Amino acid sequence: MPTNKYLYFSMLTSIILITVAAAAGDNQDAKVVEIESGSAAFQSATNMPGIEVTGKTNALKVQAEVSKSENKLLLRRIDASIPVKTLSTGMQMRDEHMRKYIFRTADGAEPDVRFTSEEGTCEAGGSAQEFSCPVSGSLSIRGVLQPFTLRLKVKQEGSASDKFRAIGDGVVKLSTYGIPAPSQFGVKPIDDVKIHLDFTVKASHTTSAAVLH
Amino acid sequence: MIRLGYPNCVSCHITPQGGGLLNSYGRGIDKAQSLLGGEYVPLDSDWFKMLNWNGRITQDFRSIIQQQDTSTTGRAGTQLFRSRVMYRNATELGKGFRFTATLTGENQGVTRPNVPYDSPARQSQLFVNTALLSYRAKALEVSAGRDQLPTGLNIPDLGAFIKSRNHLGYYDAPTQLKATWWGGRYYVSSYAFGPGGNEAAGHHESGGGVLAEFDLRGNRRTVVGMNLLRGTATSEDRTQFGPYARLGFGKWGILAEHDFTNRNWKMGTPASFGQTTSYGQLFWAAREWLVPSLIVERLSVDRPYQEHLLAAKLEVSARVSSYLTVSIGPRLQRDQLTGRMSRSIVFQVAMKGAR
Repeated sequence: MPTNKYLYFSMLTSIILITVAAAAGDNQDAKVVEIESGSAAFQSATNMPGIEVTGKTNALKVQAEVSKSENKLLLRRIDASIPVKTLSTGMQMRDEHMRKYIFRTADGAEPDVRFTSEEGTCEAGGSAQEFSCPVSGSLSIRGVLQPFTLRLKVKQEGSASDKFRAIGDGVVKLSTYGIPAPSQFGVKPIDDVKIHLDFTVKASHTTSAAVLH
Repeated sequence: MIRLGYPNCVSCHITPQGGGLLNSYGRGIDKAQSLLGGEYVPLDSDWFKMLNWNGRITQDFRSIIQQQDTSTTGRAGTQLFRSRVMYRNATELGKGFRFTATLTGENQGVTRPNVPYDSPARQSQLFVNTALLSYRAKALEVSAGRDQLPTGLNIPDLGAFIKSRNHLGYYDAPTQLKATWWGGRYYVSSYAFGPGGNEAAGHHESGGGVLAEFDLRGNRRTVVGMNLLRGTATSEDRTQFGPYARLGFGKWGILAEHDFTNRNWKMGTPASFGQTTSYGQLFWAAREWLVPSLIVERLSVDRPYQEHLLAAKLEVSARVSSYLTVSIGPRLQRDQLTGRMSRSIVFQVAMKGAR
């Protein structure tokens, strides 16, 4: 029986060790990533076939926590923002109209456009380093917070790299934020504004999985 | 405008072909892009309403004053002071009908070059450039009357080879019937034309053509197009095919056109020969109101009327206000056959009167 007891104890120990090892393999440490470079653009069609308003900013700020399991990318505490004064359409007067009629609050403030999300899960895409994910969160425009989903495509630049490139698209409805479409001599943007993000983030430091989960 | 995402002229001009009076939206853009800037506010007094038939008439006076000094190797230098005043009118007649007219008076005429195979249209100190009756239904416009023919790059310099060598000079206003339609990514104009009445003997040309352009990337900044034209006259037939492009990249833009023309001279000693004209312009909007450009041109005519000219121009244009634009442009031209160089400088002031 001592032999059996020893065998039983050995088996139990092995099972516990294997389980712990497997769990450790699934829960890698999360990396806090911050933007290295990136841009945000918007595209707004109008009621006139020949006129469309587009704008861009390179002042996009993004911060998130990223951890990777075998074939998934877990995003947490995503925080992306754009100072509205940096959005440019290429025409100063049009920029002023945009800030005045779209982004300015009743008390004259121009709060940043901000997207936040607690969590998003990205499934593996075309290759081991590619992921795609709908990230649901909240988008704040003119200080009004509304639910918003951003479709992101993320690519890790090398399997052991700390750098990720993300491209995201979404559609903002002005009416959702209570913003009436401004009219300029009969030319009016339609309600749907397409937005496009393209940015690269890099790990700034690592946070242990225990803290995150 | 291509750099700002305006793929064609329809957005800002009353006539879809462009180059004439601006609509209200275009006037807003015009003012916004000037040094003085500001909001465009339409005049709203009773007096003004009476003048413009309660908003049905858009009209203005435009004055262009131009001083051009030219020196050519082995020849005496020339100076040209040219002053033109244009009255432009677009009257909405109701139910989609509109009448558009442009009348020009000037002190000094500048015709197209008189070459052995192509005599220019006769100049006139008082000239009707445009007299068109149009009907518009949404994104379709049908027009009949006299006007300049549809063209790929609608640049204002009618002395450029792509204009002056292709019957698009200051006094070319053929009688025509044209239909233009457009969408978010395309623009098409088909046209049939006959003589305008002021052509030189034997050059009363009739024909037709089609111009079509497409926004390649759908971002309204990558427009490519093609103009096909066939014209016949007693003296000459010509078949022209001209690809062109308008591209915008942020503050930069490129305008390019290359026209191939097969000419069939039918008088005296008949001859069939080719002509190519090229135009390339790289511009940079240093400020919205200040735009320097580098322009390169080329003309090549085959035997028996052989000509090979190359030209380069540096132009700086400043839109001081929606009423005043000044530009200066030194130009160099080299005759590749003789080696002769021509140097010129053009200073131009363009003013628009009250609308």
